[in-house]
Amino acid sequence: MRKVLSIACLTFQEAVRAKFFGLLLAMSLVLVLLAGFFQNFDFGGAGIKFIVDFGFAAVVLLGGLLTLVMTAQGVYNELENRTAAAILSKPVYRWQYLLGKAIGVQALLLVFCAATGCILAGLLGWEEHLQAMENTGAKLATPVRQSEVFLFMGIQWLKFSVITTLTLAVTCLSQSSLYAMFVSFLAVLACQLQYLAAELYKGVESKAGLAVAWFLKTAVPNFQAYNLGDQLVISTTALPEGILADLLAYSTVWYFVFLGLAVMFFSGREV
Amino acid sequence: MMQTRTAAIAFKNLTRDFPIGQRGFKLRALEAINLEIPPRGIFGLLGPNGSGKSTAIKLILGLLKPSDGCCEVFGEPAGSLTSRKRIGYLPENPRFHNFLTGRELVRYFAVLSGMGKEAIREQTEKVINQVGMEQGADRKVKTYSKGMLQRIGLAQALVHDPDILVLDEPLSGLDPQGTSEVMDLLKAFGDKGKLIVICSHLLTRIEEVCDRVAILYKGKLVVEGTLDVLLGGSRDTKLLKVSGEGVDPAGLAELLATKGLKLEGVQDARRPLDEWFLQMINQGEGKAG
Repeated sequence: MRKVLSIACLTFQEAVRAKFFGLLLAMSLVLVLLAGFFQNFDFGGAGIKFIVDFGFAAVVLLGGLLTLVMTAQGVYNELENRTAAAILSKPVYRWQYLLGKAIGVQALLLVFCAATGCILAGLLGWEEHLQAMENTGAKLATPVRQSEVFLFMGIQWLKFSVITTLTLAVTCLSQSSLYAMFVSFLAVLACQLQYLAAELYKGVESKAGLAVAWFLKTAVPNFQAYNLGDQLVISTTALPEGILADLLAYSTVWYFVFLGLAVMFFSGREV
Repeated sequence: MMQTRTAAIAFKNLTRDFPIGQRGFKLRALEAINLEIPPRGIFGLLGPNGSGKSTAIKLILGLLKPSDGCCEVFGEPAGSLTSRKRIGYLPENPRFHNFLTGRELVRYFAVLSGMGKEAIREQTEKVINQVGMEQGADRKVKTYSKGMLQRIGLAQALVHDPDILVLDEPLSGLDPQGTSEVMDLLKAFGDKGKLIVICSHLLTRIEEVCDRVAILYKGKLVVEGTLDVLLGGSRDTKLLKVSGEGVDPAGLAELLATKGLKLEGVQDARRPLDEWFLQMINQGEGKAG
C-alpha cells in the first residue's frame, strides 16, 4: 500500500501544480460567487435556490471536466515522458500504478469539491443573513442547511471517483490523451443519459427492447442517481432512507469495475 | 555462448511483432533472438535506429511482452516482480517530476523499490554520493543540466542496489563534459562486479567501457562476443604505435631488449569499433536482404 500511496501522493502534487487545475478551480469559485450577483434577491427563498442550483451546476460541470482532463493527462504525460517506464521497471504491479494514479486524482477532486463547497456554503450563509435582515429578523420559510452543501459535494466526489476510473480504462486503450478525453466524455454522457435509454427500450415491450434495457441498466452506470441537489440544502423533503449507503456501495462497485478494466487493458500495453 | 545457468539475461528465440494498421499487418521488431548475457561486466547492445535495441530493453524490463519465445532474468521470467527487484533502469532522455528535489526523487524511487525506511535513508545518501550529486541534491530537478539529470537518473536506478543496470542511450544529448562524467560513473560501476547493459549508437564512447557487445540489425542478431575477440587484440598486450620510415620489427625487438622488454609480435592497430560496426551492418544488410 505504501507504493500506491507514494504514487498517489506524487500524482496529487503534480496535478495540484497544473495550470488547468488552478484555472478550473478559480472559474468554479468565481462562478459560485457571481451567482450572488446574477439574481435579484427580492423573492425570498427563490434567490437562494438560484445560488444553490448555479453553484451545484458549476461543480458538476467543471468537476467533471477536471476529472476527465487530469486523469487522461496524468497517465499520458508519464507515458510520454518515460517516467511510467522508470516507475514500472521497479517492483511495482501495474494495478498499483493505476490505483495510485486514481487516488491522486481523487485527492485533487476532494480539494476542488471542498474549496467550492466552502465558498458556496459561506455565500448561502451570507445571503440567508441578508434576507433575514430584510425580513426584519424573521426566519426564512425554508431555512438553508449549509452542511448539506458538503453532503452534495461528497456525493459528486463519489461520481467523480467513478469517472476517474472510467477515464483510466479508456486512457489505457487510447493512443492519445485527446482521444481518451473525448471518448471518456462520450462515455460520461452515456452514463448521464442511461436512465432515459433504459426507459425508452423498456417501453418497446419486445424481447430485444427488454434485452437492450437490461443491458443498459446492467452494463452502464446511472449517473442520474447522483443528482440529489434538489433534495438538499433548501428542500422541504428529506432524502430517502438509506440512499447514501446505497450510493456509496453503487459507486464502489463501479469504481472497481472500471479500475479492473483499466488494469486489464494496461497489462498488455507497451509502456 | 555462455552456459544458461550463468546468464543474467537470456533471450530464448525472442520475437516481438507490432501490429500496423487494421489489416493484421505486423512489423517484426525482433526476430528469434537467442542471446545470453553474463552476470558481470559491461554489455553493449548496439545497432542503428530501428534495429530493435529499445524493444529488447523493454522486453528485459517487462514493459513489453514477447510475441514468441521468452526473456529470462536470472532464470525468472522478465517482468516478474522478482526479476524487476534485480534491475535498475535509466530510460533515454528521462523527464522526471521536476517539482521534486533530486533527493526527493531518489527517495520516491526507493519507496517504489519496496525498501524499508532506514534502508531508504541510507541508500538515498549513498547513491547520491556515488553519482556525485551531493551539492545539487536539494535543488529542484527542473534546475538540473542534462548531465545532472542523467546522474540523478542513475541514482534512482541504483538506489535498490540492483544486480543489473540497464541504460537506454545514457549518453544521448550530453555535451563532452557530461559524456565524460557519465562514462566515469559507468566504469566505476562496472568495476563492482555487476552487469551493466548499455543500449547506444555512440560506438566510439561505448567501445571505451564495454567488455562484450551484441549488434542488432533489422531485428536480427548480427554478432555477439567480447570486443577483444571481435575487434582483435587483447588488453593484456599493449599495442605500440610506431611511425617513421622503414619501421623494422627486428630493430625494434633489439631496442626493447635493452629495456628488458620482449617483443611478442607485430600486428596492425585494432580497428575502431564504428568502422567494424559499419562492416557488420553491411554484412547484416546482405543477410537481411
